[in-house]
Amino acid sequence: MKVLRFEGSAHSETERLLPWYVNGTLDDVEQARVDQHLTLCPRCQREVALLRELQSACADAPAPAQLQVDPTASFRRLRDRLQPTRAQARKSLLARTRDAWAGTPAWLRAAVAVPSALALGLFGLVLFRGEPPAAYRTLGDAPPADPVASADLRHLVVVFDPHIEHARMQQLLRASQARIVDGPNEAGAYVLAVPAAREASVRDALRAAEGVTMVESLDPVERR
Amino acid sequence: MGSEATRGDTLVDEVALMERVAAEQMDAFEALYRLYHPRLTRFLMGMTHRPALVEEILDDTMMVVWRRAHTYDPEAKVSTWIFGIAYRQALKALRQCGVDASVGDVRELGDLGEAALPSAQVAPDVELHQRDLRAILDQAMRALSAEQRAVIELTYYLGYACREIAIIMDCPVDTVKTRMFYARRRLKALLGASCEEAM
Repeated sequence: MKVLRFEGSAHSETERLLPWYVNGTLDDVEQARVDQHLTLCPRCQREVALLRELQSACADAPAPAQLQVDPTASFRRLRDRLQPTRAQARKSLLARTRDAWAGTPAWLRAAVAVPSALALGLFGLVLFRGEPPAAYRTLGDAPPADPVASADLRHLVVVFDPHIEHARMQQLLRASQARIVDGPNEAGAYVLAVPAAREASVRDALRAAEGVTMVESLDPVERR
Repeated sequence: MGSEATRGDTLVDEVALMERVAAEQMDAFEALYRLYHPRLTRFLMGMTHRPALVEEILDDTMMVVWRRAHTYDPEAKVSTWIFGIAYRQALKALRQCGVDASVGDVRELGDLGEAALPSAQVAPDVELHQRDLRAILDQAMRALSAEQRAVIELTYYLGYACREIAIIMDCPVDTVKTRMFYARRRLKALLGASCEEAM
């Protein structure tokens, strides 16, 4: 479409403004110019009358029946579309994996499960053995556990939300009676040592906690 | 249509409402939705002439409003910001349907069918009532492009100034005037002299 420049005669310039003269949105200068021109121009006077009719027909047109919907119902539908989106973003990786898993056909789950279990075991070994626990100790650390005491510990691989506050992380660890024995590695994973008797409850509690993205037991492959 | 709009008898401070939407307050978003639902429905129907698309475009528009509320500049009018989003979403939806928004749906008056002109052709001397005029106009609007219909809706139904329409459509003021100029000329040609006299 060729864009027209409206800088011609007073008549054509004024004529282009008439739709907005009719809807009352011209600025003072434009309004005065149109008012003045209208006193002299019967053609523009007819045009104004025509445009007023057009405006009135436009403004009165009812919405088609199929669009006379209840905004309450349509808002609910939209809210349902919005909330899963935000909730999904907050959901942990593990929860999302679980959801996807639940929606997978049984035969496919069986086909995936065996190699995955092996892979998870290998993943655990890589996390735990590929980067051996740091040899240095700080003053606040407990003395190195002797082999017998270590046997009563279980290990969990934990990935925290990258945005978790330090204080919140400390709180989770204290509540779990867990101790960081390694990490974070490049993937942001920590290895936690927890008393063997509390392994399941700590794992479940951390999985349910906000700010924790993934928790997996590390020991089954290695120690059981 | 300033930063305040009326809902019932209550003045609504739309800028304050937008701040609350940006803070992810769902009750504020619902209030904004209810405030704009009728106007957006009407505008989108007028622009697209496709009832089946209207709800979807309206939902997409309000989803963008929810997600991008933090980018709203309080110096701008809330309504021009929202209608700008609606306009772009409508163009996108039309494009996906293979519709060129700069071209009319029908080319000539004959394409509109006999029913399109209940009185203008059948009885040109009979005074047209407002209802008839609306019916004729509704059909004639189909011959305009979606862009031209948007200008007409924004001007005559929503009452925007030319400069505000330029903001909504993200184009120069002269482009708005040009679209209106061609729309008027086309409507006049379609509606014919008898209809013009009746108007």
